[in-house]
Amino acid sequence: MSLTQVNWMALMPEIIVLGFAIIVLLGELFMSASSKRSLGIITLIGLAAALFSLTKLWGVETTEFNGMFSVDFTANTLKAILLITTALVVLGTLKVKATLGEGEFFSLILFSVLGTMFMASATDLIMLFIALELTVLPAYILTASKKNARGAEVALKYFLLGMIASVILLYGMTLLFGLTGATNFAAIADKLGGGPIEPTLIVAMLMIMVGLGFKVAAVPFHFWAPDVYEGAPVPVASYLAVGPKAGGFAAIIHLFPIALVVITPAWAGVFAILAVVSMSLGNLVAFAQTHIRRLLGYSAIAHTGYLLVGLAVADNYGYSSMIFYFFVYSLAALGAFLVILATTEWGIGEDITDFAGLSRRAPMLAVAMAVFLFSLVGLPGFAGFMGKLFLFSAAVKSDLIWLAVIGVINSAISFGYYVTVIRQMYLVSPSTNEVVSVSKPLYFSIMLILAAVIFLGIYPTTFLSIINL
Amino acid sequence: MDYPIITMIVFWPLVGALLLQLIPRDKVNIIRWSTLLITLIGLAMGLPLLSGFKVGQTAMQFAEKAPWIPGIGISYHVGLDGISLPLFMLGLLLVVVTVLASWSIKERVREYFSLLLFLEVGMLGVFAALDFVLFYIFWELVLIPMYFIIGIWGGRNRSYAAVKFFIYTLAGSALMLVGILAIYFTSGLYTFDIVKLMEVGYNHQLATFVFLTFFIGFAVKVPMWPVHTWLPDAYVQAPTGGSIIMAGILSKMGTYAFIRVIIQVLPGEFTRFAPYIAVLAVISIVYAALTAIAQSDLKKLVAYSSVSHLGYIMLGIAAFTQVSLNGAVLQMVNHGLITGMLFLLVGYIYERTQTNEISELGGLSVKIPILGGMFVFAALASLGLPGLSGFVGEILILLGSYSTYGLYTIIAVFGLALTAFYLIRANQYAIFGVPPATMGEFRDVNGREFISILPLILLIVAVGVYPKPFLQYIDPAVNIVLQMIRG
Repeated sequence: MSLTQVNWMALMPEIIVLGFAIIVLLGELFMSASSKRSLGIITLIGLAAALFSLTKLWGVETTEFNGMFSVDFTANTLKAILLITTALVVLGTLKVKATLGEGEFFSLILFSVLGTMFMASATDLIMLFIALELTVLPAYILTASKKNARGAEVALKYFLLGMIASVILLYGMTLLFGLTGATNFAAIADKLGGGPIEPTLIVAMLMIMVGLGFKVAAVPFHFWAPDVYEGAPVPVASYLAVGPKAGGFAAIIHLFPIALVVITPAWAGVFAILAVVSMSLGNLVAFAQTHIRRLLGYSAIAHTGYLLVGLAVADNYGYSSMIFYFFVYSLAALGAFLVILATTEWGIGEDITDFAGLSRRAPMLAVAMAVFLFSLVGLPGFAGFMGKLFLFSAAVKSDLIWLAVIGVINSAISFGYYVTVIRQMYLVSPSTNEVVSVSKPLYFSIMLILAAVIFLGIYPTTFLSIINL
Repeated sequence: MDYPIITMIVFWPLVGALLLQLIPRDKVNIIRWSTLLITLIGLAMGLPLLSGFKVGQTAMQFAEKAPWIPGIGISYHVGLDGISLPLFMLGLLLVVVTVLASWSIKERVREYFSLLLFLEVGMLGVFAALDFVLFYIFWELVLIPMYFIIGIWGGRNRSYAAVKFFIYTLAGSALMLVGILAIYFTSGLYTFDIVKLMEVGYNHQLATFVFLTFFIGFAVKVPMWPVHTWLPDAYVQAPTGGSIIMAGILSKMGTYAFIRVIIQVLPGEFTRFAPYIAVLAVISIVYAALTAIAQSDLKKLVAYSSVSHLGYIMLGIAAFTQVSLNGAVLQMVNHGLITGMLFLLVGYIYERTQTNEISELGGLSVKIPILGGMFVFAALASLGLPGLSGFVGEILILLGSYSTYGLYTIIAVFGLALTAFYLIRANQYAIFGVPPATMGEFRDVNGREFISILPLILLIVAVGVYPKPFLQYIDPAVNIVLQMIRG
């Protein structure tokens, strides 16, 4: 196959991100210190351009590179979510003191985004593995960019655990290749179809689950998440909280239902168990946290649990609901991280008690934070509720009522720890009445997310029709 | 009506709350008067409902229906019948009373009144909603403003009480969502429309599970024994306005939902479980009355008295006769008026004496004769003095329930004696008697306070003396409910 046979239009979003990643990196090398400030804007333009070119691919279903790279509904929507949330992070960090050079920071983000996009489109084991490594390598560097003992410890932990997960994933992939002689998902499914189910296949499935479960921070592969969320610089943590997960979920939605379709009950069952364990453990451990970002870390694990419900359902309605939930979750979690970014920029600490009286020092930030947390709980009126409505309806529809019951009970319980933050902001008096001011782009980014969370909570219909729900 | 009257009334407070944000936060008086005006306009907007309501019509009236999230069959569907209309109007009225009662709020006034208006949206919405998802949304929407109202403006133990209130009610109602989804997927209709589901009744094999999810949610909200333990904390710690809303209206959300959802959508399960509901109702009556006897705090006494009285309403619902249901719906309104008034007066007394301890009160009939007299009036209405509204509601419930649950009804009558005992004793020590030597001098009721109480007194007397105009709204609707179930 020659290069001219590839429909490059199908890869246009990736090409644009790659181009801008290189431009930004070169800009860091050659631009003067004062003009480097524009690199953030350039990154934003790149993300917007990629998003625009993605809209041109909306509704297109095609594969390129002999079926290694798929353009489809799942890939497109998750890429769009990734680009939107990353753009909001970049917007929020425009005026924030970076721990790295601007160019390094933004280009690493773009490279990681690129990897995630390929991951979202990967329909081949080799492509998936390479994309995954491209996603996480910049993430390791970004995590390590805070040059202190804690930052180094967290980055090392993240790196080592990530490497182990990658190795296990790779081993699972080789087993799968050994069984079928194919790396392409569809080809694997062909080879597996009809024959007896080998125990090795289950082993391969479990190993792949470990690798991808690590990506999306499902229990018991979650240990890195709270540490990284807490120890990485806030802008990096904001990106890691949402971006790379999009790739992880897209890869899961592609790999399991396509390549491993013959053993659907097996992996759906395991995902159901992982869902229950993740949401329950994440929520319970979150109660013990005093550091706001650790709290959000465990909350993220719980939310991975909710998301896995969509995989346990194992039909298209489940996957669509899961994608919708991923978007509404990402918005709220990202919003919370950006509020934390705003307060830490002002010198406020990150213990939950440091948020005391925020409603008086920064009324809009407090309102936004409260709304994001309410949305994470899943209270009606906010996007999180609509997400849970669809996710749990998928479970009930597929006779997994028990899973929906555990899900809603967990949601109710989770209010108990989110409320500690709200309590501090509204019910406790501040130690100082100094007003917190926020840089304009960051404030704008938070308000955009706030508007989206409320709008999607009241009228999600338009958005739902975009994602076929 | 040729305009969407219910939508306008329900969302008018939301508009009002947004308008309040335009007033600078230190212009406290303007904020108070504006809120009063907003709620009065809301009440005025509701009056055409009373005149336009066609008594005896089977269908929901003033109904509005529009697709909302068509992908999963969720519609925006609101409407009122003879059961929900009285409660809807009660909500509109009690909010005005609450605004007047909240004049004494000094801190963060704009936030307080904004939250109160948000709260109003949720309450009114619950009574009007005819789509399960919409109903659930309004149901839960009430929690957030209530949490803040208790948590920020409440008493000494407010933070604990607010979280307890929230978690209890959220945990109770969260499962409702699964129940609603189960109905959607298994009823065969693929609809969330309450009216459509009422017409066929839900009798799938999951009905028992669905019943339980709703029952827990509603029982916590009412609250019934044994899930009432959040109530004393929340009612007592809440500021006066919060207590009035919770006792007056939020508890009615629970009792109303029993009729609307459990009787009308789940008739089979209701018939099966009604005897157990009746048992819980009777336990609520007696247990709460006995607990009220043991209270030394006037506000706590009123709180337990409220639980006890809600037990009568639940008994009337469970008995399911025409008379008892009429009584239950009428008593919902009465309970809102009477308990609302009691909490209002306890609040006014506290503002003067700075205590709710019955032992530290006394001689209020001398110190503040008008307020004291009003408290006596409210207590008499509560214990069911003939001629006042409480009597009418309770006598209907007891008469109607006797044929179904003779023994329970007799026990409930003994509950009335307990009620009389603790209320009269509270009056004896707190209102009459000799004022303690340490007690200072207080101003009696002022104009604003008087006006806030007056409509309640008038309605309590009106219902008590001549209940017919009120029952004429309720009775046909009750008949429809009975016909639907009994065929």
